Amino acid sequence: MNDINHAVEVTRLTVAYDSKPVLSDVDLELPRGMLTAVMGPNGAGKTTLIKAMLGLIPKVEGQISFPKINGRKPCIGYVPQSESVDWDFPVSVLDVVTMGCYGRLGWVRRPKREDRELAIQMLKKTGMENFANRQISRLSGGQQQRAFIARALAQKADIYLMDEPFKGVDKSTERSIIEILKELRREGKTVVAVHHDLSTVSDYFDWVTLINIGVVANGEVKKVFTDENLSLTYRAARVGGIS
Amino acid sequence: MNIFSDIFSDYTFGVVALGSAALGTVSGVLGSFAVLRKQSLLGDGVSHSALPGVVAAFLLTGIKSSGTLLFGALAAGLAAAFLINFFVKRTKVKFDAALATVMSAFFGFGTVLLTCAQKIPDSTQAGLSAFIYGQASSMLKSDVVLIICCSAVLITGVLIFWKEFKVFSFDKDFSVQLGYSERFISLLLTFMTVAAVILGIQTVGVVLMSAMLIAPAAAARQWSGSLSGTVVLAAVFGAFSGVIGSYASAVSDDLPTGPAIVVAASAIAVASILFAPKRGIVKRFIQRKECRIRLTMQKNSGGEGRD
Amino acid sequence: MGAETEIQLIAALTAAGCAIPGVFLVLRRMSMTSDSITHTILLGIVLAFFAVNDLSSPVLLFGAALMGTVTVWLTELLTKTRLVSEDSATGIVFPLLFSIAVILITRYAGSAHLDTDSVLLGELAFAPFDRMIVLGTDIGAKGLYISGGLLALNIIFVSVFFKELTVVSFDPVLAAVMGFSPAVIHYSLMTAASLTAVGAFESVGSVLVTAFMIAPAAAAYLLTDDLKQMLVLAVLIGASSGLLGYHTAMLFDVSIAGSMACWTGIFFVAAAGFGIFSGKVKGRKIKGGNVILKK
Repeated sequence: MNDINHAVEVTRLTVAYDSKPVLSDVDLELPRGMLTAVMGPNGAGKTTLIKAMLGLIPKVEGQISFPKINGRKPCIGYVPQSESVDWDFPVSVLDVVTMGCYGRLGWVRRPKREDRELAIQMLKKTGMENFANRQISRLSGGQQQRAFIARALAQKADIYLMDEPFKGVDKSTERSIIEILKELRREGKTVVAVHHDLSTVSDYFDWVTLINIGVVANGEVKKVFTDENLSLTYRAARVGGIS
Repeated sequence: MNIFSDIFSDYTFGVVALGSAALGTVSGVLGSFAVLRKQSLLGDGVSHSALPGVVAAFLLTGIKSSGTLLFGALAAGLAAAFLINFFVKRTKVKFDAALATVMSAFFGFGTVLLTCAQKIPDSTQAGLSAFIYGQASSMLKSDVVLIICCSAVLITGVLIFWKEFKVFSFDKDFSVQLGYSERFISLLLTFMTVAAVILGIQTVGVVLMSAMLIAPAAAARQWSGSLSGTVVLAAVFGAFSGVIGSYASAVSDDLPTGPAIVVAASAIAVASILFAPKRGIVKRFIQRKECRIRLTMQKNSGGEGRD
Repeated sequence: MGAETEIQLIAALTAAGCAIPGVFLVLRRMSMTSDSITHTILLGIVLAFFAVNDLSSPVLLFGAALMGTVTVWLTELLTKTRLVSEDSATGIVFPLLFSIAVILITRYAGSAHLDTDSVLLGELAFAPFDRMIVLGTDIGAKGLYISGGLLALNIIFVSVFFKELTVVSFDPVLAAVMGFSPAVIHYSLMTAASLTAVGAFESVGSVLVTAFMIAPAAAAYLLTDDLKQMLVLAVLIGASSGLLGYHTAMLFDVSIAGSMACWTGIFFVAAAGFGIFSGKVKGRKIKGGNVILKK
């Protein structure tokens, strides 16, 4: 195995809420510079896997590591589920995108003009520059998601973890988001996204991880995204559960 | 043993214990719904908001009887509950902020009125501290009769509207689909909760009344998964805390009744959270240990298989 | 400086200082935490009093502030078990601590003149009698220094950690990923809120501290979409309530703190009215509903 080509390595990861294992003995290696879809039925542990990668939940056992890129620790970017934030919060779209720079700034230092300029640039990339000064609740669902993507871009990360980036967005937003993800791939970035829509996997992603508490299959879409694997994954749930 | 028999035959203790038990029962029952609807702190808000009502009733009538003051408290408490609901529905302000704003502004207005009341020569200043801390030990037989009657009415009300309250507390949207008027049920439940809170202010005081609403219900929830079980247990826990609290306060010299009742109710709640058989913390801790051992064992046996 | 000016200044500074942590409490949906803290302060004072046996010791104030933070911690501990909801946890913890305080006072401190009424309902009118004396010189009312100091402390805290407070309040997960520990920020904010409540209760009484923390912030929340503007507006509304409250109280000869609290309520109602009639708030509410429907 050649470590250099992995963006994320998960070994024997077990996460449990109370006594119920949510993820059990997960071994995963996700490739660098590719778009990876994490799929599985409801309650399969997709969001938990993302959260564990972000180091947000205690592990019962196992390890998650991000191998170094050119000798430095990779920077992790993150796009949350849209319902996880309070949309009435008094911040503008530009404020939200500028938050992407906060990690680089560290404690106490304030965002400077170049940070704001970067944020505006990212808004242009996502087609949101006209909404920069709008309060975030006055955006449509698709626009809110674009603002979050812009914020992740402003993080200038090497690896992007996204929890259902296509949830609640219209078709045109979905297309423009996937264009952005493909551009990230061209730049050699890694994207790991929780995804639900079985019909678009082959178009959008290079790599797919099928999980249901444990890993069912992990590999290139062409090889792994088979009917057999899908029925194994969604065995307990509705088959083809497009939600 | 002499002390015990003395205490139990003591007239004052009998009155106080009976009143506190009735109060504990009714606040346990209505508190269960408040806790389920995630509106536990509404009781706290309403009880603080009652102050201007109490004082205004006194200022307007000049009478210091429980009935008049309770009526004023009820009016102010309902007005506050209505305003909180209005602000949550019509503005982007969230429930917690609306509650805190309304209750503290009402309480402020109450203290303003109180300074007016103090100017009336005949009034004693005892009013406010009684309002805040309650004065269970000075409960009269007539007060107890009032508490028991009101509690009986409220509990009967809960029994009559049991089905509606149950569906409404678990799934608001579903209850609307069933054709129940959301406004009516919400109003009725709020009205009844406010009434129970007002009833309790006299005994345990403003601050502690919210505990009487929450603690027995939160304790009961740990032992029972069903609504009927929760409500019945909450009533039992509430009544039990009432008796224990008034007993402790009767045998000890300077142990105020209200706080004693609250400490009893909280102790039951904490013990339930720790030791409840199905979901208590101790049980959970043991389960987690077992789970870890099981996982390790599985892994070890699996490892051997692979090798 | 005359006593009247001193009272007005203390009123305005106290209300303004409370409004600053209040903004973040409102945004984090923790408004009732202020109510909880302001009650449990009493236990902190009582316990500290037993430790030092001196009612004028500054240790009492530290005990009170510490107890405020402990209250938040205990509430969170209970919430984290996921056996009770957050509001229930709040409603169990603070009445319990408050009850213990009341019991301790009645049992052991009866002779020590530890007056609970003065904690729960401070009296601003008496503030000028408590003088700050340095090297034998009277340099003004003590309350002036306390309220001014707390306002300054809050302004410094929020301006230094503005970025961190914003990101932790808006998206704690992002904050954690970026290395800003939400717990550190959270407890710093709670300590600031506790200190402010402790500083304020002497003049306005602990129950009404909630009014000065939450109502101006909630009113400002309705008037603007910008966090910095919200902070400034909340401070202005707080200070105005202080001044207007003082004059109203003088006019009708009633409690100063009480009429200050009434004014914060009036400002809130005015802000809500402005929001409803301008249609701005309602329109937003419907949009918010759409977002929820879409998922």
